[in-house]
Amino acid sequence: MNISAARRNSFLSLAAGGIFLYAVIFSCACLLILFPAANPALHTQICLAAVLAACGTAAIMLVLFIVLRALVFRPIEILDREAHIIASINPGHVIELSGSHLLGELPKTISDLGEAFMKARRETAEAASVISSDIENSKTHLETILMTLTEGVIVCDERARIMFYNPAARAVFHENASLGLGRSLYLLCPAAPIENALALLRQRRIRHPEGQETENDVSFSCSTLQGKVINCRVHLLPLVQGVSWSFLFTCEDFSREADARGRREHLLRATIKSMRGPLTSLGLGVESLEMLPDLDAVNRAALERTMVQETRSLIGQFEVLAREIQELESPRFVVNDVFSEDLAACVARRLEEKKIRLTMIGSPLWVKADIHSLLFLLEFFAVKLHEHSGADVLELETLLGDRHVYFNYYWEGAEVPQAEIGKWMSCVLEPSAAHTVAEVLEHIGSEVWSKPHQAPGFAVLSFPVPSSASQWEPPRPLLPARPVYTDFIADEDAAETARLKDRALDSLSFVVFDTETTGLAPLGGDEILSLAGVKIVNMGIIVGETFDRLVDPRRGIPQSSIRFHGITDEMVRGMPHIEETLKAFHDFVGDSVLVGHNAAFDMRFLRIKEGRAGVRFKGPVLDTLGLSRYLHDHTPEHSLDAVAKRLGVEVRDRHTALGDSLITAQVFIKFLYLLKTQGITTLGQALEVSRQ
Amino acid sequence: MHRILIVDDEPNIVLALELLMKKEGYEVHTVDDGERAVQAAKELRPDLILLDIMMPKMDGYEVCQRIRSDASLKDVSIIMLTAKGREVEKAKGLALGADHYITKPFSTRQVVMKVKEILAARSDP
Repeated sequence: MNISAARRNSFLSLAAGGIFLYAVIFSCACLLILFPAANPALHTQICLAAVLAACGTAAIMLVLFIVLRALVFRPIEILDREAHIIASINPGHVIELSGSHLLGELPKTISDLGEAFMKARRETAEAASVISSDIENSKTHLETILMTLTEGVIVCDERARIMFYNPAARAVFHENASLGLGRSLYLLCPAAPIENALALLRQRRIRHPEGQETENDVSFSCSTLQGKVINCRVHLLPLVQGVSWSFLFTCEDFSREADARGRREHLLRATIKSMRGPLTSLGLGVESLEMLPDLDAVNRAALERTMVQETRSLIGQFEVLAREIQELESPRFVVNDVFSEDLAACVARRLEEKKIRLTMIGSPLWVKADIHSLLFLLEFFAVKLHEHSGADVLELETLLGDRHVYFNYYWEGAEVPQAEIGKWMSCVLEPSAAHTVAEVLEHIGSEVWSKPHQAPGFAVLSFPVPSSASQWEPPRPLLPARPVYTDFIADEDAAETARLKDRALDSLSFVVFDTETTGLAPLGGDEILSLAGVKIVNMGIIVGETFDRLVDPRRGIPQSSIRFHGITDEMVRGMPHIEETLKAFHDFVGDSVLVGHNAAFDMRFLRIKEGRAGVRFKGPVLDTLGLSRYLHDHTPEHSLDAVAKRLGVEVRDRHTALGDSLITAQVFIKFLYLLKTQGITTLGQALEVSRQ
Repeated sequence: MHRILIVDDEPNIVLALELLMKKEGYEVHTVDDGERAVQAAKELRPDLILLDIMMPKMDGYEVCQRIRSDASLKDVSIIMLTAKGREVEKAKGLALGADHYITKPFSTRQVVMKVKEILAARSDP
């Protein structure tokens, strides 16, 4: 029963009682008037008594009503409102009933109930957050692992739409802009081989129902739509309720290897073919000389000339073959690009235990080798040098040769004789694999030697290791997450903030906004492509009032960013420029307080354009990122995705300005309720905690 | 007359080189292993050594290092002859004191030209 109904009912019953009493008194009075009694004195008395009784009753009724209203109805009304707060917003709310009342223990019981409810809710929430943070942790862990794989990994649903991919996949598809979440795998490589593989795997799965061991993989090579040869593997994932036939697609760029193999085979075939001629004629020449010892001088000279020519031709061809093969030689072991500084640091740590001090000098370089072997070699040589020369201090320098990086050990003393180094060659380097130093050197394509250093009294031990292309190629930049800024406080108008800071959060209107940009550097020429905002009034999103505009950035949109926002040059052609859009957005915002997730990032882009647009966003800006950190400090995950998931906000149209604004708005409303439970009710307080 | 020492364990190659060098008018001595090479170098003090790398007992690298470590032999020119054609081996040979490095198969012309060039450079100053 709600409050007004309760009041109405009590009033009705009171009114009914009063009317009934007055009806009785009125009837008595009428009886006396209509039937005047023989005894006028008695009549007067009865009349008087009746009037007195009526007045008395009315007075009692009035007093009773006043008392009841003060001690029962009013407190019930207050209690009802307070209980509502407990039930719907804040279970921890303490009921405040000033003055006395006749409700006995009821308010306390309700408070207790609220407290018990809050405790239960908190426990549930804690349990849920522990579970969800566990899930989140293991998910993050798994994602981190996938991110570090050098093999490209793509997870697709049954319609081959990409649900996950790692950076290696991006590298395999050569930064193809079609690689993006929710897009089809078949925009990257031909559908036929993958569909065939899937059909085969599904067939196997159907033939062998769950629980039975079946082969879930099909491997094949195919060429990407950009013409690269890739080795790939399709793996049907276990059937999960609601997710049918999703599959894992792993891929490795095989172009270079395939190319090298092809060239090697071609070279061998061509050389064999072209050597046949000279070899035949050489053989014939030798045989002729043998069989015809008394050949005349002219013919003999002609024969010799031919033989000399053919021999030179053979040698020449052999030289070409030897050189080309060396270039195409593919390593037989797993090789990696590794920075010499990292190797040196590892070896230095190992050597410390053996009381050998190793310092790295010069500038470090990239090498391409089997890291395991290289580490063992570096350690082995250092130990041997120490044993041989007694030096406790070694220096390691890397020098760049044509195709090799030379690892040079320097120490004070004489060089190591080649005979001694020869003895080292038969030492077993890796007990488990039983490889000798010579074998390991051979497989990394190296040699080792020692000679005196240019500086008198010092010596060098050198061994070259194939150089890595990383020397010349700058490292491929990983697409970074939006950088987190917190420096926008300086930009806001202090007077405006002061004016608003004591306003209750639930009395303010907000505009939750987001931008999509060509990149991450507003000062480096990146521009806004899309700007959107959503209004919140009375803690609710105003559905009909959204701001959503595409902006012509007056520049090309980098392919690498299209994957994130899906906005292409064609889409923004003819759209208004940022100045016009910003002015319109300023009008849209009006008196509202701006809210954004990692708002400082977007504000940087807005601030730069304020001057040219002739507007200024004076008010303070609330950051849901900061609020999330304050409210959920148990986790380091505060990306919009993570926050939305934690709060149960459905993620839709992620990475569009409007979609992200809507998600952030829903998150923000949930935060407003949560802030209230923490006693944070004013804008000033919210700003303060979000910036802690 | 310049004196040349040929060090190789492959008799056919030794024979061919010996004939060529003699034809060019040099005094030629031959040995077929590393230890004898070092000994011969000390005794004969050749102007130039044609030194094979892959040999039994002592390889060409070690011979080279030993000869270079003997101050009295510092003026001997050394041309390394080898079937190993990799860049690292060449680097190693030159690092250990060889003046030049020729990979097999080589043309006789190539060797003769190099020998002449090196010996001419020695006599110039």
